[in-house]
Amino acid sequence: MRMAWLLLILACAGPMEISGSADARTPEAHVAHNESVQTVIQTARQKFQQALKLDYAWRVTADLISEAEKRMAAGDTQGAHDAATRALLSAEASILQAEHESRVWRERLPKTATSNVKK
Amino acid sequence: MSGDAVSGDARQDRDDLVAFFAKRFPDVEFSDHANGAYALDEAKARQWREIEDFPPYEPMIDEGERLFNTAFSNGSGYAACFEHEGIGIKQRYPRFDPDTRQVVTLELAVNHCRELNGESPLSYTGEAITAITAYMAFTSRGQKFDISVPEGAESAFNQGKQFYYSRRGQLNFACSNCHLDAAGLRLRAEILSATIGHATHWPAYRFKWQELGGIHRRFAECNEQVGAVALDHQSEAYRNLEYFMTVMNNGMTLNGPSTRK
Ligand code: HEC
Repeated sequence: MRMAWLLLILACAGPMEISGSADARTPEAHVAHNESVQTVIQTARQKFQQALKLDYAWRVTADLISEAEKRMAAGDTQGAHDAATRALLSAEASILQAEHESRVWRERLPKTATSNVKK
Repeated sequence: MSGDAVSGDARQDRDDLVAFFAKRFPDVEFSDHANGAYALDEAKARQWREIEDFPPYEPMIDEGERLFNTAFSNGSGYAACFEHEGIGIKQRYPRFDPDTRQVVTLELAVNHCRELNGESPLSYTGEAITAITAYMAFTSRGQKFDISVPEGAESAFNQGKQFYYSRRGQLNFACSNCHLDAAGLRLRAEILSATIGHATHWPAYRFKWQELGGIHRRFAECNEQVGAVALDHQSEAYRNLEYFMTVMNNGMTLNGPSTRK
């Protein structure tokens, strides 16, 4: 059930809705923030690679990673952070999906008289 | 069907699906599912039959025949690589190769043939391989799928089966959610076709593509529309998926190439 909610949340939040507001930060805080955003982007990339290996990657993860990189390059650190965080969440959800599905896929076989008796 | 060569489980899976769709669509003959969504919508079927009278893919069959009969630089040709010289054989593809323990699709076999003869492999997304397989499919029209699942092939078959029934992508859909559970229902302007009949008519000319394309191109599109990253054409996962799906079409008549929306 938790899985379904996570997917639903991600499905509802389209990549277009990201908005940035890095204005209220002091220059020092901004530098520290920069580094942590790079870390989030890096982790999102690793998780995306992991999902690709499982044949389970989501397109939105790739979109959000490039969104984060673009925002970063434009100096929009907060926007980059938001996009990177969502990229990471979506990559984690896709890996969860792979694990979950490897356990439950058989439940979707057609329910006919024969297959019900068989298993 | 030489059913003995199909493992018991694979045969049962196929029979279960046929029974499922017979119950879901009591008015649709088993063989009519080879026409995909057109078997489920008479108005669209009428339009489609008119198109098939003057098929847009015809020049590609001619081109495929020409390519198929063009000798390699060593003097040999495709015909030498296949039983019956490659004519009327598609009903036995994809097949499981016990030596490499891989599923061999017709596209893969064409490229193996080239490599055996010192030619470079064709791109799986290019026009040449589509034309050649369109010609080969054309010569197999009217044959019935007879795909075997010999000992050793169960793992490939089961991987294809698992792929078909697993949810994927951000929208969290399995192939079976649309083409089994929701078959016959509308998705936007389209009617969802049934799993049985999905392998009969490839390569297909899609008006959306404005050209012929293979079944893996369709897999990629169905993956992408639920938000999943598509896999490479002829990747192991897609070949196993095609293997499973084609076994599910055993006993159906090949009618490719065909047109689709
Ligand atoms: C969200 C629903 C949806 C999902 C999930 C989906 N498809 Fe489709 N698929 C469609 C639609 C819509 C069409 C076009 C109408 C039709 O023929 O069903 C289509 C068409 C096809 C066709 C072509 C049918 C024909 O007659 O030419 C094949 C083959 C196919 N899908 C295979 C798959 C496979 C394999 C998967 C899983 C990887 C899959 N689909 C997942 C919606 C879906």
